[in-house]
This record gives sequence, C-alpha cells and structure tokens, in this order.
Amino acid sequence: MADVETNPPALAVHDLRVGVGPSGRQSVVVDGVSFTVPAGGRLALVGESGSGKSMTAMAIAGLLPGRFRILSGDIKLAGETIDPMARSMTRRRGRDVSVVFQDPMSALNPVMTIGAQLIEAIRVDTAVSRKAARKRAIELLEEVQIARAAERLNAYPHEFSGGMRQRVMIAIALANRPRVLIADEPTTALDVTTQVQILRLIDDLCRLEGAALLLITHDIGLVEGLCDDICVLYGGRVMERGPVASVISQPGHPYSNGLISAIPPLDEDVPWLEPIAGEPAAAAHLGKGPACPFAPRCPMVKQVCHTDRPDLQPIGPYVDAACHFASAQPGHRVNTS
Amino acid sequence: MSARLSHFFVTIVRAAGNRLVELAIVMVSVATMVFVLLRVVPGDPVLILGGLDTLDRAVIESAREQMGLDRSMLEQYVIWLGNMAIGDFGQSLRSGAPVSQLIGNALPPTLQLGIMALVIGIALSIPLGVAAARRAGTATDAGITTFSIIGISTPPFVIALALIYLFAVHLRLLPVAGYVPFDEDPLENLRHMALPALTLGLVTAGVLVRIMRRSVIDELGEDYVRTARSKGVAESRVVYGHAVRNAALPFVTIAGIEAGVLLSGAIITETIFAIPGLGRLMIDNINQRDYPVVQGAVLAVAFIYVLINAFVDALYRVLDPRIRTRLAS
Repeated sequence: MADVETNPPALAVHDLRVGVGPSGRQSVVVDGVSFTVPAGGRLALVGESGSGKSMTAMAIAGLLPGRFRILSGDIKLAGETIDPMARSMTRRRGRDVSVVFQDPMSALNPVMTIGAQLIEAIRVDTAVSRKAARKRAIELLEEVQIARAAERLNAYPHEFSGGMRQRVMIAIALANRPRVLIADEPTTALDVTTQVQILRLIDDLCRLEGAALLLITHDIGLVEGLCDDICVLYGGRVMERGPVASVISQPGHPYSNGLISAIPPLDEDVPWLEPIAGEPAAAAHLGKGPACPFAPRCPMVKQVCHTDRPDLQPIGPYVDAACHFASAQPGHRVNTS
Repeated sequence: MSARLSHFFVTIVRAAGNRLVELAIVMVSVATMVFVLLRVVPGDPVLILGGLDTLDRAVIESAREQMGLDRSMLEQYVIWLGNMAIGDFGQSLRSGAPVSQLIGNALPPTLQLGIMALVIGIALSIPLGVAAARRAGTATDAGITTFSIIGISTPPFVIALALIYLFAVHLRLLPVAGYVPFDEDPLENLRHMALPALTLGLVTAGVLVRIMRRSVIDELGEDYVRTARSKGVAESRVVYGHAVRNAALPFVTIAGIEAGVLLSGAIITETIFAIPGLGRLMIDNINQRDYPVVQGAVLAVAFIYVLINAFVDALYRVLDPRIRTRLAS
C-alpha cells in the first residue's frame, strides 16, 4: 500500500468478518477483509452487488441492518480500536466517521427542513448555540455549492433535485469535520453529469477538511484519478488490493481484470464489452469449503482453485492478490476481438 | 414555530371552506336516509306514546294531524328539509321541546367523553406503541401487543363493567354511574367521567397502539433513520425526533377514524354509565319513535364526523410538507 506514515492511519480494518442471521447459523457476508486508509488518504472498495463492500462500510460505521452483526475483526480509527456496535459509537459517528449514502432521495427525512437536519448534525458536537449552528449550516451549504443557501435552509428535501440532496447529504456528513468519510455508492442514483460534479465535490471537500475517504463503488471506472488505493472484493473476501494505478494498468487477479475489461473506454469505439461470466455468488454459499469464491466464474480456473482457497500474497510492489495464478495476468484493458 | 402555527390555522380555514360543499352533500344524504329508515321501521309514535289500546280512533287521528304525520312521506320530507334550511329542527313529538335544545343539552357530555377518551387513547398508545416497536420481537413487545388485542377485541360494555367493579364497587374510588355538569362541580364531573372515558380510551388505545407500533417499525427501517444515526444523534432523538414524526402521518389518519368510532361507542357507554349524552338521546328516542329528535341527533353526529375529517386533513397538511407543496401549486 502507500508509504508508511509516521502518524497512525485514519482507518485500519483487520480480518473483519460480518454475518447475517441467528447466531450459530449465520451466513458470512464479509469474510476476513483487511485494509488500511492513511490519514487523508483515499481508498476505493470495489465489487459487484453482494461482494460485501457496503456491509464492510456499514460495519465500520456501526450502521449494519438489524440481523447483521460483526463476528470478529479489529477496526482502528486513528490508531484506536473501536467497537462499532457499542453504544459509545454514537458519539464517534459524524465526528470520527461519517457516511454519504447511496440514495439521496430517501436518505433525508421528508418532514424536516434541510436546515433542521443540517443543524441537528452540527449541534451533535459540543455546545454549539442555535445561532452559531445556523451560521455554520449556511457555510456548509455554500461549501457544497448550493446557491441562496440562507433561504434554502427552510426548504424540504422534496423541493430539491437528487444532485442537490446529495450535496446536502455531503454537507451533513462533513458538518463535524470527520476523520474518515465513507461514501457508499454516492453517485449510483444520480444521472451522469451530476455524478461527475458530486465526485469532484467529495474530492475537493475531503482534501479541504483533511478527511480520509473510503469510496464504495461497483464502478471501477470512477476510481481512477480519485483514489490512491483500491481494494477489490468478491464474495466477501479481498481479491486484490494495491495502488489504483498498478491495479488498473496491470490487474493481478482475474476478477479485477474482468471488472476493468467491462469499463467502456472513452477514446475508442468498442463493439463488445467483455462481461464477467455467470452470476455473483450468493452470500449463503460463501465461507463454506476451501474453494476460491471466484472459481465458478473464473476464465482461468484450474483444479486447485476448487480445492484450495488462495491467500492474499504480494505479487508486486504494494500489490496483494488472492489467486493461485496471480502473476500470470495479462495487463490488457479491453478485449477487442 | 409560530409561522407553522399560523399556517395551521390558515389551512384549517381553507379546508373548512373546501368542506362546506362536502358538508352539505353529506348532511342532505344522511338526513334523507335517516328520514326514510325511521319511517320504514314498524311502530307508530302516537300508539307508543299513548299506549296501544287505550285511545280511540278519533283521538289518534287528531294527534296524527297535530304532529303532521297524516301527510304523505314526501310532503313530510320536504317540510322537514325546508324547516332545517332555516335552522328549525322541529320539536319532540313527546315533550314538545325544541330538538335543537335537546341536542344542545346532550352535546357537552358526549363531546367531553369523546375528547377525554381520545386523549387517554393517544396518551397511552404513543409511548406503548413506540416501546413495542423499539423492542419488536421481545417479551415487552408481546406484552404490549397482547394489551392491544385485548383492548380491540373486548366489547366496551365488558370493559366498562370490569372497571366499575374494580374502581367503583371494589375500591370505592369513583361513582358507579351518573353525570354532573362541569360548570356545577368540576371535580365531581371528572370523577363521574373518569370510568366512561377510560373505557372508551382503552378501546381506542388498543387500535392506536397497533398503528403506532407498525408505523414506527416501518419508519425505523427507512434510510433517513440510518442517516440520523450516522450523524451521531442519540438513539432516543432518532426514534422520537425522526421515526415517530413520520409515523405520525398514518397515526393521525387512524386517530381521526377512531374519533368517529368513539361517537358510536358512546351510545353503549353512555347507556351503561347513565350519561345524558347524544348516544342516550338517540337510543331513548328511537325506542319512542320520536322522529324529529332522532333525525336531529343523527345529523349532529354526522356533522361532528365531517368536522373531524376536516381537522385531520388540516393536520395532515401541517405534518407533511409534501402534501402542502402539492396543494399549493
């Protein structure tokens, strides 16, 4: 991964496992995920639906849905181990770790004004007066480039477009200058032109506030130029992780390669994008048996893949991959045949 | 908040305006139905009043004529509607007292009973429903849900008798029955109203607890609740400030319907507790076939229904900004 820092990383996740269902009979949806985001760094968690990327993010923020729970693992925020499911996590949320959610249409309370929701976030921290909180709310709306901020405080979410709601969500998430910002598919629900603006906004504001960014996305094409490091998940396990530039230009894992081959290039006409064969593995089938989770869909599958689960191992400078044949990957982006 | 409050009153006035037409249609329809139904039901007011065999034919006929019952049904109907249009609801066939005065006397106890019952029902159901929702699937939830089902499925007269036995007969804390007007003796009035209000309040709470529980469970699964948690907001504020505020929308709708149901529930309760309210007035005069009084009482109940509906509508606009915008544009 990136250079060794003298101060502790903003976020360090070690061997995180998340399960769903009654204890004893859980299915494991996140199975031994580890990664590190340095202070002010940017890491992308990439994978298809069901890869466990969102559950990893929600586990860190302590916002797992009802039947999900953390089975084991160690999560450190700025060097300090936290228990995201503990009651004490409440006071870390918004301050140590904040979240921008996928769907801005439903993420805001429909019966509260934008201002009330923003001010609520601001006043969670210390004793901010009502007046000071209002002033800060206007500042924040200006920071996320919402025009006529002062009067917009009285607007309700349904009076805003999707892009504007996501801007408000970003303002809420950054209200207390969090150490780590988790952006969970922040642009998936938005149209393409808005996507670019929102990503740029997240990029700028994280830099401005010095927040580390954990970007969750299924779109590996968004990651280039935005994140320093990438961590590719499949079936709840890390397939490959390393600096974005190396992984994208020279994917070490056949799954990363498949994801990259599915990005439409901007500068040439491609008659056919290569999809990854088959369906993403269902969570219920994971964590059982010693096979590589990607084996059923892998174009390079060999006998050993069905009998031995490959561990993450270094395959290049700062790059780790979990594949028996990792080094054998060709570094092409698009299959033009 | 004051802007919100003034907006509330503006919307009430506007809603009332919109409701006037609806009110007229409802009242005329109800009036027609009551009129027809009463006259289709067998039983002659003159015979019931005078005793079946005692009167000779001539007396009966002259009494009929005096009451206007000798005219055709259509004629009676037109005269009655015409009189009502100028505010004359007629006189009781028995006592000759103006119907408007009888209703005016019966309204206060019924309204007091209904409002007290609704307040008890809401005051019980919000905390219980929220508690059950937050602990859904636990023993607490099961206990509260059981309470709710008992409230819904037990007939009000059984609840009434159980409460009378416990508080009046056994503990001797409250009177068994009767009514004292509020302006005569406020304390005695409340002591007499406590058991009937609690009876209807428990029935109402049974329904409202279920609605509140279900709505809060639904709302707690919404994305905006997760957002509120992600901000670091304390859990009690997440529940009451966010989830319950949204759950208020379905709750208010059902509470409005329940307020209407209370009016009909009041008939039995008023009879058991001997409260001279609208329900009692109706029952007594149905038995006597005192047409004008029954017609007037039913119309009064219909009028209250429409008012409750208008109020719920206005409240809905205050609670849900999305409805406000849709109506404003």
